[in-house]
Amino acid sequence: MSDPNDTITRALVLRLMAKDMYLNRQTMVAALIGGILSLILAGTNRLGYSIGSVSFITTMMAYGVVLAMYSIAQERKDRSGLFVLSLPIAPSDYIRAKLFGTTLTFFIPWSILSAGAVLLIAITPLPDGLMPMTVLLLVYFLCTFSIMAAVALFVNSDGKTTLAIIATNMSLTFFMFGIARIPGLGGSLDQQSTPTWSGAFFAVLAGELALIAIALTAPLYLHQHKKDFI
Amino acid sequence: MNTENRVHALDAVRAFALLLGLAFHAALSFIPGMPVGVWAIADNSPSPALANAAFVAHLFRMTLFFFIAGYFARLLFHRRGIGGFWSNRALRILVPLIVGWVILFPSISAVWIWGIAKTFGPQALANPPPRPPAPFGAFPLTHLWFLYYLLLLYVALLAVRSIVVAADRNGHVRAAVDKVVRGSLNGYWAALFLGVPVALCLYDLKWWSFFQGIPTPDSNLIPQLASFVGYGIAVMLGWLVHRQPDLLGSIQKRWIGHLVLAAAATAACFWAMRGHPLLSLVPQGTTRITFALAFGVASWSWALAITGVAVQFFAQESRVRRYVADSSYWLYLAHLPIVAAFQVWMAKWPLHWSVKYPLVLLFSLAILLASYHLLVRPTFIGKVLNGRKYPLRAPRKTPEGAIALCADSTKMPVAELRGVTKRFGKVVALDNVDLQVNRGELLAVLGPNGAGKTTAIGLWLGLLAPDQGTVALMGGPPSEIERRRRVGVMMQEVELGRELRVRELLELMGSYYPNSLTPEQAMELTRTTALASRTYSKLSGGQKRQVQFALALCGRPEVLFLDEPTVGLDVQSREAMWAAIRDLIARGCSIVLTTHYLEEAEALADRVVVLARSRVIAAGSVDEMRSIVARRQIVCETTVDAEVVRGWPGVVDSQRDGHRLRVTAFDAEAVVRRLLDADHQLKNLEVRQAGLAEAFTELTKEAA
Repeated sequence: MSDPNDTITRALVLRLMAKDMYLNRQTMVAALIGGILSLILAGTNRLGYSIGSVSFITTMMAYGVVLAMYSIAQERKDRSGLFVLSLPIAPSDYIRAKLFGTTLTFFIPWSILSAGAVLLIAITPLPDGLMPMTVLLLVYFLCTFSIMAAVALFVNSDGKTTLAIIATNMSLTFFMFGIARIPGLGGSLDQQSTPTWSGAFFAVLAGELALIAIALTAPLYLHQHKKDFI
Repeated sequence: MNTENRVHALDAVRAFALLLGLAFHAALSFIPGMPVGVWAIADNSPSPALANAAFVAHLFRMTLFFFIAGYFARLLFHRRGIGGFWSNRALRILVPLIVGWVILFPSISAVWIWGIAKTFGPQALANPPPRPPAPFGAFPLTHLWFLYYLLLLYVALLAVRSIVVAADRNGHVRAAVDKVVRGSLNGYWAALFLGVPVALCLYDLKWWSFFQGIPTPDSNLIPQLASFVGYGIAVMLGWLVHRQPDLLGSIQKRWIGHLVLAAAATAACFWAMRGHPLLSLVPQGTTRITFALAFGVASWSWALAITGVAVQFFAQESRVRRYVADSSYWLYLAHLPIVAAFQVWMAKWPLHWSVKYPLVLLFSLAILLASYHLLVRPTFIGKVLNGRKYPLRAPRKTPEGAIALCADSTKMPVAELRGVTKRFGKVVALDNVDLQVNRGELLAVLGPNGAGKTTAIGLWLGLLAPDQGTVALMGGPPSEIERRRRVGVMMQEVELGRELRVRELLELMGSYYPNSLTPEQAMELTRTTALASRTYSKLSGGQKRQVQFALALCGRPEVLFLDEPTVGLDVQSREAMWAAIRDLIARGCSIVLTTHYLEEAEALADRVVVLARSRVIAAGSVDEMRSIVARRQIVCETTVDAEVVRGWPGVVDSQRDGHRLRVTAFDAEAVVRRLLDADHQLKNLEVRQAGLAEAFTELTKEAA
């Protein structure tokens, strides 16, 4: 028989997650619109592809930054997090709700736009060889968002949060250049008509997924050892 | 799983057993071949399917009821002792038995007569068939026989208990019995183990019909062996299960298995019955052995399966289930003449049983529930049957009333800091602080910025951990969610969902608590109804504080922490908040109020604590605070030397300020007399009753 307290706490965590999604609904819609327009543009012609790709990457990164800044860091700044902590909920449950609520808020548009990006490559004349790089890039967006969210949740300093956001954004450039040089991923493979799902691809993907897993579990673990929450 | 949960689950089981009895009796007129006289009427649309369903229900319903009764009996016995047990049982069982019988027997008889007249014509009443001589002890107990047997079984049970307690001084026998009970319930043996003695008693019955099951002992005051043993085992097992409450968990875990066993044993009953009418006598031989065994096992398997289901799915409190559970006793007591009357009324209607049976149930339940709600629940009858009276109209969840319900009249501390020290790095926020908030009082915590007021609240909410000392909220650790649910908080300078309207915020807040106030109630209490549809971000600072106050009340708090609640409020709003705070206090809510507005503490507080430099520097009532300073403030123009005055008894300090001498003294009157004696030219003497503001200033200055 489940503990009624656990049931109520679970319900409370779900409500807090739903609240976060509700409060960020306009940002979600904006990200979706921005991402879809970028994809449409990318599917038109070569110039459209260039502009659309940059626009798509900007949309994804900006969406992650906005969520980390306004849904987590700003909440700490304006003390609305403190208000939530005054609710009948353990601080660790609040962190759980915040982390998963924000991640879900990012994840829904991300998954739709990622599916759109993959579909775009699959159904347009764009070379299918782009697929592995695109997938890795898309997962990298999720990875950088997870890191930004984790840092914003754990540190109590706006400066450190901003630093983390800048670092993760800058890392995108290094990532793109980096993977382009990895044998089995870069080179002219992205110009081929069939995708190459090499061992390098799966190694990078595994690394990204591991980073996401660490980023999403670290705040939960670290908060368990925290004594003070205000 | 806690005991309270089990009680909710077993309350549900007891209600189920009683209501199943109602459904069972409603089916009796539809059983093919039911003799009129044995039942009030036989319907013109009999149903074998309904008869079989009634048979299955009858297999276990009373066994289940007596099992739960045994569990609750031991619970009651250990809560109230033997005297309390019997006075409770006298009121809840004996009184309904006697009073109920006096009212119900004539009613039931009248319905039976109506049924017989409707079936055989009025002449049947004029020439009744000869009756066989009544056996010794014959008495028409009607369906109230279960109350009579409950009392008999309680007597037997407590007698056995007394003997066991006297004889088994070292507890070996009880331990062995517990072991057997545990062993049988930690598997599927219990149904077999318990079913066999039931089967033996049934097997030996002279007149035993398939449908009858354990014979209903409703016509004789002398205990009938099969019924007494069958239901006695059930009461005894309930009692023994309560000795080891974790056994309910074992039953819960095995509910599916018990259900499968129940279905199999029931199938065996039907297999043994094949070719025999349901109401016929059970033939001797293999059929009787098979049926008796299958019946005993099925009876207990169903009882355990249903108990397991209840513990699994209905352990939490539910207002609806609670209402049904409360009403079920009355419904069962009063149902028989009403159900039978509807059966008689509809017996000749040219409708299929599938229409009439639900109608009988529907009409009967409508009358019974209405009578319960209007005539029983709010009256002394409800007090007898349910143990308490409920107001006819559930009190509207006004914030005042609702919060008053939360309040406990005991004066125990609801929040305590004992010897608490809290450091942030090298900064000591609280240094060996003792603070206590009693139930129903408003404690004002005063102090300059950085004195540790908000830290104290953070500790009480479990958001900070003390470096030293103990923090208690309602007698336990503040981090426990159960305690946090009973607390409301209004923190300083918090921001809320900016895009949400006030009503949405209150709805959202209410959704975080069980049994919360509605937005309307919270707004009514805090006089914020006019802000309901305003967007939070567009409110003024003062209005936001009012909304935050309403939010703090949403969970019907027993303890409310208000951290500088009236900052930014205009005079009118502040007065409104004060009025609301006074309402809360009057209804037993305990409040911790930190404030810089000393008149606020003066207007609201029962006690005042002054924090300065991380320590409590003064604590007491507002008057005591005033008196601390009132004794000290003597100002006058005199030539008496300040150094001389400083040496007088009772003088704490003496300073010269130009022509004026400012004396700090414990006993103002004595010092004034001595000053006047020393200087006849003394003038402009002031001895003032200090306000709390001065007390605060003086105290914090001293601490600094």
